[in-house]
Amino acid sequence: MTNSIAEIEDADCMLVVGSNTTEAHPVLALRMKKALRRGAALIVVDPRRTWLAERATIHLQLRPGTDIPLMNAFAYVILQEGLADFAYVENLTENFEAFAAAAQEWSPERAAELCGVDAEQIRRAARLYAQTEKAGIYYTLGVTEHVCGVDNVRSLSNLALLTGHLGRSSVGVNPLRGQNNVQGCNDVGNNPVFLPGYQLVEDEATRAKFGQAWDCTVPAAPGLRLDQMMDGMHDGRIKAFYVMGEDPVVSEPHAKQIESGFEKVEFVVCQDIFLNETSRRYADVVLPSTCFAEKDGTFTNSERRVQRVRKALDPPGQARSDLRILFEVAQALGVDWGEPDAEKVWNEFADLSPKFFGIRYPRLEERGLQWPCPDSSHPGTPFLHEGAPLRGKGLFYPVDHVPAWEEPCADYPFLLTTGRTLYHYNAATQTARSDGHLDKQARCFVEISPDDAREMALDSGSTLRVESRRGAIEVEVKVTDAVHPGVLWMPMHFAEARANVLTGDGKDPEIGTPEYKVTAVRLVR
Amino acid sequence: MDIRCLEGLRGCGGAGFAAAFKWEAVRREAGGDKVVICNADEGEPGTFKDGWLLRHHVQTILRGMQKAAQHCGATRGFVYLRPEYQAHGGILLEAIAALVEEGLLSAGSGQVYAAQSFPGRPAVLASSGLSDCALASLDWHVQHGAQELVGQATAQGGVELAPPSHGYALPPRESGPIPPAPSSGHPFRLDLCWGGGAYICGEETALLESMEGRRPQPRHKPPFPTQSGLWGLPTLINNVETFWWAERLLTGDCKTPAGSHRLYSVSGAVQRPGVYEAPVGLSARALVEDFAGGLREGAEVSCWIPGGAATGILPGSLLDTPLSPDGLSAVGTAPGTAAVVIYSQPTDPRTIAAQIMRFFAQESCSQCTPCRLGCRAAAAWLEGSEAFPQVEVEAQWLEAMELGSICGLGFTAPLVLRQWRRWFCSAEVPA
Amino acid sequence: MATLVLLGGGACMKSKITFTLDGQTIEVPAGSTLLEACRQAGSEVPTLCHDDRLHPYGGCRMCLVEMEGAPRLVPACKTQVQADMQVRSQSEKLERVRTTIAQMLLSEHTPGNGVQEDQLQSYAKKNKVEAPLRFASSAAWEDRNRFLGFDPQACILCDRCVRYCDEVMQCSALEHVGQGSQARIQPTNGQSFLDTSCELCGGCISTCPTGALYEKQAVDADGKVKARVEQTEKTRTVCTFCGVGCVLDVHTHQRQVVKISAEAGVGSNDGHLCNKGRFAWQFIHHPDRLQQPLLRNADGHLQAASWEQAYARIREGFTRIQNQYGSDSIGFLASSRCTNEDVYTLQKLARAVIGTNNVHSCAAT
Repeated sequence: MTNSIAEIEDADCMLVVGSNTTEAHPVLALRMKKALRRGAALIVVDPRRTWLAERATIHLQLRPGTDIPLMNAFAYVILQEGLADFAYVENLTENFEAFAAAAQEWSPERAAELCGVDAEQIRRAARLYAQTEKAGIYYTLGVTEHVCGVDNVRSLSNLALLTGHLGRSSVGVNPLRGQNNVQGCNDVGNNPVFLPGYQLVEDEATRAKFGQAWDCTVPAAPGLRLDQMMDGMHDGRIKAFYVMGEDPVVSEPHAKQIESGFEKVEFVVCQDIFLNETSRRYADVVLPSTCFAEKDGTFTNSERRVQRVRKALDPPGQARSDLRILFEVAQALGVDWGEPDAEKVWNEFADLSPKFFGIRYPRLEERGLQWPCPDSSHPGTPFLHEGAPLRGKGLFYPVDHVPAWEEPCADYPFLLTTGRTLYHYNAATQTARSDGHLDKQARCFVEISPDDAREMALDSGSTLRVESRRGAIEVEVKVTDAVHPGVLWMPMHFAEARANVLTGDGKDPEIGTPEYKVTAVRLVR
Repeated sequence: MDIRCLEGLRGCGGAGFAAAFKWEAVRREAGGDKVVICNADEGEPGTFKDGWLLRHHVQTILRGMQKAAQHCGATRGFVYLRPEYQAHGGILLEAIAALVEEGLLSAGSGQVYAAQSFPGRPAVLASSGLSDCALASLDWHVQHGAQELVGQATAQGGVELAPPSHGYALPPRESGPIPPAPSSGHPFRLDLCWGGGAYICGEETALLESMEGRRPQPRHKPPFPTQSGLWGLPTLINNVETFWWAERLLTGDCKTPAGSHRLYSVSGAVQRPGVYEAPVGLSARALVEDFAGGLREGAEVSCWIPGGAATGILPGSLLDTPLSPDGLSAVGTAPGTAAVVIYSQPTDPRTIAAQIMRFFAQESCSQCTPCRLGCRAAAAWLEGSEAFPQVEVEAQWLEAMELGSICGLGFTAPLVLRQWRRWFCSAEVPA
Repeated sequence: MATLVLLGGGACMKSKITFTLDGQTIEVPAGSTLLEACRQAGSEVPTLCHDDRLHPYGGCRMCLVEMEGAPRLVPACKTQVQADMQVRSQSEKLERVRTTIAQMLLSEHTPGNGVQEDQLQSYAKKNKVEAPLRFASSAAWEDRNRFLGFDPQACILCDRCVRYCDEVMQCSALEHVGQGSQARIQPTNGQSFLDTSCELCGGCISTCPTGALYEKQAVDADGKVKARVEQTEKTRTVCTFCGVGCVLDVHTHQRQVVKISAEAGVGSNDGHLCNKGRFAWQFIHHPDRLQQPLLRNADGHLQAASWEQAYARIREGFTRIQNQYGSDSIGFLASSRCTNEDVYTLQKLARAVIGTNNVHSCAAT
């Protein structure tokens, strides 16, 4: 997030794209609710009529996968009506002409047809966003989990640059992180092209710095991304896996393809708190580790705030802390890192990472610190791009519509999109073990519009078979006008009805994020 | 408009605030969106003069409201009507239609809305067959007004509940111009809002809360409704009778000086219960004898209420007290709603005091502690409940009610207990 | 954190006003309530119905103060400081009224089960106030949900839960019904929390001052409290159920989690949590938890083993793969739910020990 969570409640206009915030980020949504009650305008771009959408000033209920035309149409209106912040564009951005030319291709009328929304509503929304001084963009996986996820994000950042809506309190572009430490994972270098602290592997000096600190030679070749590793199981590039706290068989798309890949892998180590599908079926070694309440360390939240995680309990049985396990594995492989200690590990990371250098455990006690925080007297950074974009000039990207990897057709006429619910989390390994949560939501369901339900003579509560080209699941029907005809929605949490049996191989070519949000399916009664 | 003739007119809803002062306060507020509300939620036990006025002089009242609106610059008006006054609704709507016809009210007037009540309480009690007078009597309230008894009564088939009076919740503040009324040239749309049905709805800020669709809990003051009332707009709220006097004073129809006369609701052990216009300062005895035909045959006064239940009870020996602010203040009470109720022997004054206090305890909105629990304790003390012994904390509890309640219900309720102690059992007053 | 944001946001400093409190001239930011001013000045004014995160209510009347010119006492929580006000927050009269109001509340209140703090009892104990009489108790409330316990007898009708649900969550899953002695708080329409718009966030518990609302998971199936709030050990840490990073307190007793709470004013969550953060901790003690290393045997079954055996197997496995296919044939995956230190160490293991940049996680947003 470019802004802080607390700033949201002071926004006067919130553009919420592809985020069912009240269910996926309930506590952050409280700030939005507060802003709403204060009278802030709300524009929701979502194929579903969510809680926020119901209360929105404008709800653009677009067809999944048509975000770029919609955002380009926003830009079209803003340019046509002279609502852009031309001083900002002039002084603090580059590549405007190319972007403007791309935006000119998408009149609200043209976008409206493709997106399935009203052109006048697009105009109103664009004006509202552009003309409100304190306007912020908030988005989640509805934007990123597409073949054009990166371009979707660019289309949003284009809007922020065009209107100068960046670099102020409550004003910016804010991805809401789905998992508690997505931000931190990237920060500390769990990435094939970045060493810790966003330092490029390809940079020789950087490699030398880390090589010296770690007493090794850091390999120069960039590694494989998650999706490439998944493919690598098939083409022989990957022969072994070390999996810490993940269940790729359940959480990765096109589950059958993943399963057959794991069949070919020769050696798999899984480190987790529960046996999961991947470890149960494919692990050679399973290492019992600790949950958040059993360890020390830090998480970095969506607003870049590093916060202390503290141990409240001992792990059960012989389970060991993840850190200790990793240190012992290193030792087994012949490298002695000494005693595992979370603070020491953090210090090693911070010493090597300039943006994090000023963040140290004693400073995190009260309220954590938001990076960048380059030195010990720096107070942290509540919002980014103050005064000017971090890179000096904000870069416009001309973007254009990219069709989904798989569009509905005569055989598979429905467009299935997936998401989270309030009562469960990811693969539900934790929430499905909570009876109280199951009381509220025990089973998977698929949302279908009343029109489609009538046509197929379906009632809420009946069971239905959802088939894609890759697999099929049985699931309960929920008839609701929250989705448009032709669109289906289902949660991704339930083991007995795994949405990823259906999802396909579409992914963003630049970063490999799978297209969980668009799958062509058919329904069989 | 010259409103100097209103000098001396005090509000007739119980609190007795200077009417002209309120009119001026609202007029001075900036902005064009203001509201005039006629408080016709006549719920003070013993009081029925507003019901009588609405039956017999409805146009005068509405004309008074129109003048107030014109004076203050208000464009929206509401009559907030006690839901038990079912029959009056039709009378009001007819009168509104007539005034629209006449060109005094804006076109579109005469909408019907319904205010919020307390969840769990029936919005309206059937009043079929009951006269305004019977409806207003304390017994009736205690037996039917309190919600816990309503449920039992319906279960036994006793009281039939009327449907919640045909109106929709008042929508949030509408913008959009109100057309000027042809003859006055002033835009003023006057509508009817059925009240929430609870005693506390007569408190002007609880009334506003109920109109805005919330639990009718009184607001903290300041700000006063004249500054921030309905939807936060400057709002003039006057009693039915106040508007009636104002209209008659402003048109010169009233020959007596402002505030020199009032409408008295006289009931109880008298020959002719009813509404009487009488000079302020007359004694209750004169009122009963000269207006209400004297005491009922053979009746001997056990106690009496000078101005509605909230003014407490007085002994027969004080029947000669003038019913003026000063006269009543000398015996520790006030003119209230000018509702005089006479109780005859062998009715025990303690029973009456207990009934009044139980009524308050049941009607407390339950927002603030001193009123919610203080009334409850005081009622039990007056009832002499054995399971609930008299305690020495009484003095502190009454003090906390008087100093610490949010609204008039809480801070005047102790008066009933104090009056009873003072006039009927002085020997029992705890140290 | 609010301060940080304010300064960082470059918001101009609020103007100040002065007034007299207990004979002292006090300067406070414009718009402060008397309660805030009293706190700033170090004058202890009790309150039960106030929560800084909610609009002032002024219902409990514990915070009454004397204000020059006011006909009666005024609630400090609900009264804004005006310039030149003359206010007394401590006096014999106030002491008496506060004691009386506490007496009133104690007369209808039965202490709850102790899972939550009871501020009324604490006040009574500290100031030696006792109930002089006893009102009839309200009826008990049974609810089949497993998270939210409600004991109406401990309720003092401060409306905090109702207001929280309405103002903060905007769920309206609780309501204040009836009047007078019949007034009570109940889940909307008197239905189970499972059957209403309730989202089981437990915010009502967090704001309840008397423990009338409490965590049901802190009570055994037979109704026995696992640990009273003062018996638990509190560890402040961070939630793992999304990227918001709510700061929370894990309460443990005898090596078991008793409940999870969050403190108002702390973290970006300001004491708010969602149903997962507050209640989804059963997994921690779930019998399915892995408690020892497992190795796949020749038959293809996972079998319990010692850590030494597990590490030996890993050494053997990785060495063989490295020798046969090279370091880049090994992939490392980390969950985005692990700590920074864990993940840093994993990528260091990959890069420095194995020698590959094949490290990634499901970290697309």
